[in-house]
Amino acid sequence: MTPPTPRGGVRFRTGAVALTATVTVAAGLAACSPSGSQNSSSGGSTFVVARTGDIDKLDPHLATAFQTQQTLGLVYSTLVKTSPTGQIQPDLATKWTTSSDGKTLDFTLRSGVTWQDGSPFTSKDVKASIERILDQKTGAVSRSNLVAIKKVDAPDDTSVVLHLSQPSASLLYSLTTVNSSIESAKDISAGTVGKKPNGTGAFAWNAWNPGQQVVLTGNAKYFGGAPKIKKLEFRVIPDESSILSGMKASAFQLGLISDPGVARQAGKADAYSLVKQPALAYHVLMLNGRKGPLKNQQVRQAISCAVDRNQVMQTAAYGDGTVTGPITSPAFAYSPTDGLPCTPGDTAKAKSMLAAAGYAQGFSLTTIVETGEYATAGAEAQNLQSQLAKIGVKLTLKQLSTGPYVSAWLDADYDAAVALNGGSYDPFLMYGRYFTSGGSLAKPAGLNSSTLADLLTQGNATSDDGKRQGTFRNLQKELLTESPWVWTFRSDDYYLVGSNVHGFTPRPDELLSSLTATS
Amino acid sequence: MLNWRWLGARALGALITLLGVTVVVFVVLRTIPGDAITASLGIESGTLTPAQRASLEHFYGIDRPWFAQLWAWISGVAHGDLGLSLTNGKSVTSLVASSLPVTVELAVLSALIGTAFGVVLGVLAGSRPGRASDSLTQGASLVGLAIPEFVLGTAVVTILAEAFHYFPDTGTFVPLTRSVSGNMSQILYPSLVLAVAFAANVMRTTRSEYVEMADADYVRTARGKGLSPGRVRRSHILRNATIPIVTLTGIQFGYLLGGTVIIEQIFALPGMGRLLFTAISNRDYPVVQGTVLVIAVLFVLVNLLVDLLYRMIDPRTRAS
Amino acid sequence: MSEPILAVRGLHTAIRTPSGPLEILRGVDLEVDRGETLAVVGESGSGKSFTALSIAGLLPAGAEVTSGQVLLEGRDLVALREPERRTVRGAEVGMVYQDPMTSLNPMMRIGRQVTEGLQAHGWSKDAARDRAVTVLGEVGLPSPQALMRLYPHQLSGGMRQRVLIACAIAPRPKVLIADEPTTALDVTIQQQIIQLVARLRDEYGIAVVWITHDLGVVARIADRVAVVYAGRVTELARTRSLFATPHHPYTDGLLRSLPTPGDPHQAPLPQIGGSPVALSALPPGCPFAPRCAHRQDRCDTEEPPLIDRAGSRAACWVPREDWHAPSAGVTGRA
Repeated sequence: MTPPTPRGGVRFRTGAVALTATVTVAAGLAACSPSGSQNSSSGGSTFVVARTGDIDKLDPHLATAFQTQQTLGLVYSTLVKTSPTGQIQPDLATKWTTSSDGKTLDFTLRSGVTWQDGSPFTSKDVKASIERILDQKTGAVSRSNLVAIKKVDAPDDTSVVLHLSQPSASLLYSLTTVNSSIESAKDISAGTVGKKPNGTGAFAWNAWNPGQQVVLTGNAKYFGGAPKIKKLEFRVIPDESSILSGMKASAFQLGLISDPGVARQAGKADAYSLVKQPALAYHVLMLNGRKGPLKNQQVRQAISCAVDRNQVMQTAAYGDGTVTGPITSPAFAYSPTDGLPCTPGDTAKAKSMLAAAGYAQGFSLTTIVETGEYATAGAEAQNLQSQLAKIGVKLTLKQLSTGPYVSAWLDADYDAAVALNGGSYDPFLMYGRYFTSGGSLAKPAGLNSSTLADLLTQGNATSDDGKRQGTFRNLQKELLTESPWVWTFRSDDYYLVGSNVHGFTPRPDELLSSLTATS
Repeated sequence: MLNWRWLGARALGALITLLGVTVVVFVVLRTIPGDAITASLGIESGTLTPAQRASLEHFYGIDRPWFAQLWAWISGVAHGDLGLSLTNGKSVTSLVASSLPVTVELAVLSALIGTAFGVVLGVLAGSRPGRASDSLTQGASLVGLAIPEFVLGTAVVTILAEAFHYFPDTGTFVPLTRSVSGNMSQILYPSLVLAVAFAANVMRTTRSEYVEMADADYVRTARGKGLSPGRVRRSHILRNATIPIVTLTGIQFGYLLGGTVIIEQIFALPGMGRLLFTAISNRDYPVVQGTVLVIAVLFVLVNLLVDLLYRMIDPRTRAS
Repeated sequence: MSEPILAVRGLHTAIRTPSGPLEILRGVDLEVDRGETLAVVGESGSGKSFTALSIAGLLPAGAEVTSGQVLLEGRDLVALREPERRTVRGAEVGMVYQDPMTSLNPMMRIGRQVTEGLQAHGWSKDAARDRAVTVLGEVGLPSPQALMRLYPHQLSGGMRQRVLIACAIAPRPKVLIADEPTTALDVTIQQQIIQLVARLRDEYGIAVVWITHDLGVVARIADRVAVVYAGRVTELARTRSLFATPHHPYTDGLLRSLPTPGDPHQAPLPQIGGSPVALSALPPGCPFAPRCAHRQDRCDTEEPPLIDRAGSRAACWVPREDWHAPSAGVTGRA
């Protein structure tokens, strides 16, 4: 009997084994190589903040992406700043007074402040910065919030006077945002703003590797005291699970994540602690009150009553958040449902309201949902859809990527929109552009209401805190009664703080100002 | 062996291809809803006054009609200028130049590892068709093809962090020329992840080619001369199976060049995939156009190289 | 008579099928003398190719010799282990294949394809090269030195077949097995190849086993003929005897179906009735019986062995004189 002719060989088996062995050894060596070892947070080495996005521009007047604001907010200062609870505090201005008619703001500036390039800071810089924002050619987004400023005077090096066309209590708050940062007059006239950031803040610009990292160095001459961190690096790690893994491996000192699913996996660990901070931004189902059945206030109220906000929050964010009403400003905290004609989630009541309005058989609403921007949109939309189905209101979901979503949103080309809108420390800044007459975002507001417009203007016209508290409480009530939108919840931002890090406190506006004092 | 006329014809064809790619990308980009302004400002762009918007459009260079923009871009490219990024103002050339080596190295390393494993395993399976080693290898390759790379990549990163307290990223990308161990610590793991699917494909092709070749008449002739099995395998079976393997490797490598985005995201590698992806999200037209052009050039070059390899390996293609 | 250089005794070869092993060769017996040409004739599927492959030890995967002997100068090749068998293959038993288009490696130069067979059997590189040039010239190829560097696709079909022959005879084998080497070539080339093999056989004194289905070729080149049907040799005779007086009805049928110059114009050629037997459904007794015009009862129950019939051997119970109609033999060729 002939043995079959052998075709394979022992050779190839050994070849495969040898190959696998080589690669495994190489992988092991790479893992143990010294450059793979971690940075500790002890003074002297770099403090690394890992986040998913990169900054997108170097001019604070144009910066809207939160990463850019976080970074530039550490390099630049503003006239005034807010505490995490919403109190206005001195920054470059040490004192300010408002005239009795509210149309003049007088600021006393700090002396002895220097720009990071060494030149001295004077009132000329403030004047140039504000005028730059107001100049339409700049295209600065905060212009609409500072448009009340008619004229800026700089009578001496440490004084600035703002002349307003009408009183505006929110103006001070507008001046605290990164978009209102004070830039050097020299840079502005030379046209070099946006080339290399030069500010008066706690950290000076060092380098930017687009797509990889931004490096800042501690400003020893900072007027608030030199920061303990000598070198601050913002590293771009596009995948949130990778940020979590990096924190576990102690590769970063601070990790910023926003996906509740990833936060859940963080659990407890020795290398870090998970800190949750409610954000100013609010999740909302916006209704287009100028279309069809939504024109009827009772219909809108019925929809608002049908939604159990807690359920939306549990489904979308695993409960990491707070149920909220329209106003999220920390200094103006009111009941989230006072003003609604029912208890939210009361399906029976909602159904009867709908029937009373003449829509017992229900109707459908084309609802736009943004994909790819934040983690909870899809889950929120689906939960709202299932809840509203119970009263016969059918949400037809249209998933759109950012570009088309923004276009549709600005044009109010929808019946309803699942949205995450930005909040502010001042309620007028939150809703002025929607509900005042001629507001820039009147279209997505969905309806006109003179009551809302009056309340907003009233609240903004006075700096009397007592009066403002009352007026804005009524504003919230009226918003809930009118129900142009259904406010659901504020989600938590997640901060993975390395166990070696001390003195870091998160803020609802997502700025990282406490890094000036962190070690 | 190098036929200049052939090369010239191919070069001309390549140029036309690139021009076509450029125009198509250019037009398609501008049909995607949204522009750099809405991309960077989002809904805040609604608060811009018309004058502000006009000023920003001029700043981004999107206020001119599209053929004017196209002409401006093409003339720029002819001078070696790919324009400036709308997002960060850096020259597109520098952005591409810093990200290209990352992606190329990732692709090359994955291709090398994948081909090596794929061929070895393919021969192992093909030389004993129907036996246990064959079934095992084929099963392994199916698993390798089925697992999405983002699952595998994330799993690798997580396991490295939890079990070995190790994260393969140290901030700036360390080029191979600066430090081999540093570079490897960043790029070896992502390459291994990409190599899995690569190897699976190579393995399957190698195996089927091997089985087919092993029954070929000329293999029987070779055995009939009394050649040893090893000699037969090397000089006859493998040598002739190289062509389809080369084809497959070339195609996969081409796809790798543009398809490393997900792995670059997970492992935080600053490669061209990520550059392109971010630029598209930001509607950063010059960066998208520049990057796509470079990728297209690379694709064309890889194809050319594969064709040259054919001519070197297979004498039948030299007849023309 | 001297000992035959190659003798096949009771060779059984089977292939593995999903429904179990299937016997292709059911006990083949042949012999070839030194310097002699034996033609092995049969239809497709008769097992003639498998006979050649079994002798050379080149059976495909799934096929193996199950019993029998292949004796080369008295040495049983079947009993050898593969490494030893390999030393015989090529060096002592050379093989030429049917399709010259696919039997040469398209990506290897001609010269190398000749020398590698020599180097595998211990020739040095230089000696192999010299021998290759010589043998390429011997098979009638022009400019052998230049030819060494060419690739197969640059040669015509006839030239490629000559190369294959060169590869086979380069190591001076004792036996050359040619498996239908001219089937794929046109008639003029066919003639040239036949003459070439005849000349080489005479010069080198090798034994040639020529597999074919073409009786015309048999007439021109063979000293002896073995007719194969259903996996067995049914008739073994000297060529002239076979053509003049076939002793097996199958051989008779084959000969009748050959066209002759005297045939009426456009008259249908006589055919053997019925269809070739399926090896998986063999009847008991003689496998040709269902189609045989001279069948007797014994043919249906017992398979006949090769029986001596006046110098030839035929596997048939019924002698010629008992056939129903007198057989017309074919005269005048050889």
